[in-house]
Amino acid sequence: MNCKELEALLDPYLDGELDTAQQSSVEQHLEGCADCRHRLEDLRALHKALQSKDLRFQASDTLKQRLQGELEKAAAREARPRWPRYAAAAAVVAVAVTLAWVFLPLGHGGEDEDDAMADAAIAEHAQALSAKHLTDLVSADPAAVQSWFTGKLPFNPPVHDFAAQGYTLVGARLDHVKDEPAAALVYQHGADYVTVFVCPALKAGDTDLDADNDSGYDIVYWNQGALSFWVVGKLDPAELKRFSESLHASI
Amino acid sequence: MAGNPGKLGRFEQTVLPHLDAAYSLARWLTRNEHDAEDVVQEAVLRAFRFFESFHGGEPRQWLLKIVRNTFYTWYDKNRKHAHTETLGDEAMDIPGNEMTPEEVLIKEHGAQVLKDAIGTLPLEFREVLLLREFEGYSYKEIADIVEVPIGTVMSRLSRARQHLKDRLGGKVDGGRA
Repeated sequence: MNCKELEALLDPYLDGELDTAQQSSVEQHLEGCADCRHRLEDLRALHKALQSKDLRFQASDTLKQRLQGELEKAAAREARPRWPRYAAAAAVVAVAVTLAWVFLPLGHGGEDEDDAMADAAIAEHAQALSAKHLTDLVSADPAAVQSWFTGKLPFNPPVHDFAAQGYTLVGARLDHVKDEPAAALVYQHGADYVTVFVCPALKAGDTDLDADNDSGYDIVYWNQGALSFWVVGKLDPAELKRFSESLHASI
Repeated sequence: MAGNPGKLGRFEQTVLPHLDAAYSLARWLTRNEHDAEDVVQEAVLRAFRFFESFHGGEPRQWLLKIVRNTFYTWYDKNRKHAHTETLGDEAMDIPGNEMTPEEVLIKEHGAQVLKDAIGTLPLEFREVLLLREFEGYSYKEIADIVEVPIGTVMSRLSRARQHLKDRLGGKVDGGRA
């Protein structure tokens, strides 16, 4: 082993990441090479300096108290039955819509809400991928998925199979987008996952397909009847749109 | 009033003991106290929401992964205002460190000089260094948190350390005397 080869192994050697054979060949080289021993000493010194308490931060008491309050609120929200919560939300929305009609010029409003919902849907999709928790129920059977949602949500999400179009139904989970309860339907397309969030529509009435993107994800969304659909994935935007159109047509 | 004390209680016992680690990571990534608190709050609430999906395993690693993910969502949105790509504010306060004799420097400014040097690391190098040096995670665990291959962890870590050594110009002495 020469010095150049050793240099590549010095960090994993220090970190205890080498197997026994590699470790002993590193040690053999170190024995006969003062330069490399010096390099190792430098790394050790840096490691030791990095253990200083001055480089650590601690959560403040203010943050701890804030979190405590927020967690209690979140726990209380989760414990409340879904129906009354939805009814209350619907009442708030009804008032807000009335106010919007009175105070806003016609055709205005709703866009910010859509943007916020789109961002939230993307965040939920990304978070589920990262937590490796895509599904509460694993099933490729649309009927089984649909019946699984029965009683869990104040609406019935339509579930369809798109295997012929290259989208395999993987399963579903209960989720929410912003404050809306949501059915999350997960489809696999090649190596990518697409989540279809189905929520109660904030405004009644059908809308055209709209698209947006955030954090590297694309989203296509629309309202259909009393429901809103939010299709999130990392596919080519045109491909995601095609899938959304098939979905839109099937409902 | 907590309506779901069972879940909250378990969450508090399992996840909250790692709050300092979560805050420290967020603080190093955002380089800003206020933003770090926002990121941690968002991350902890997400963790609570997903707590049912946490089946054993290492809770700190799970939480840090969520903190990291929350940070990047925040970072993408606030990129323009983020302090992350610049030297930290503290850097301005160091009196000409080129001229300070090594021993004095280490005694008085050692941690400060290191802080600034870590702050200049690009994010993808900084996070790997933090997870290894502060949290003591193995390459495999870091690969899981950061979602890159182990070989990438190894090379980023090595380059991060090289960068620190270059910036410090051999001024840090961890007690080698």
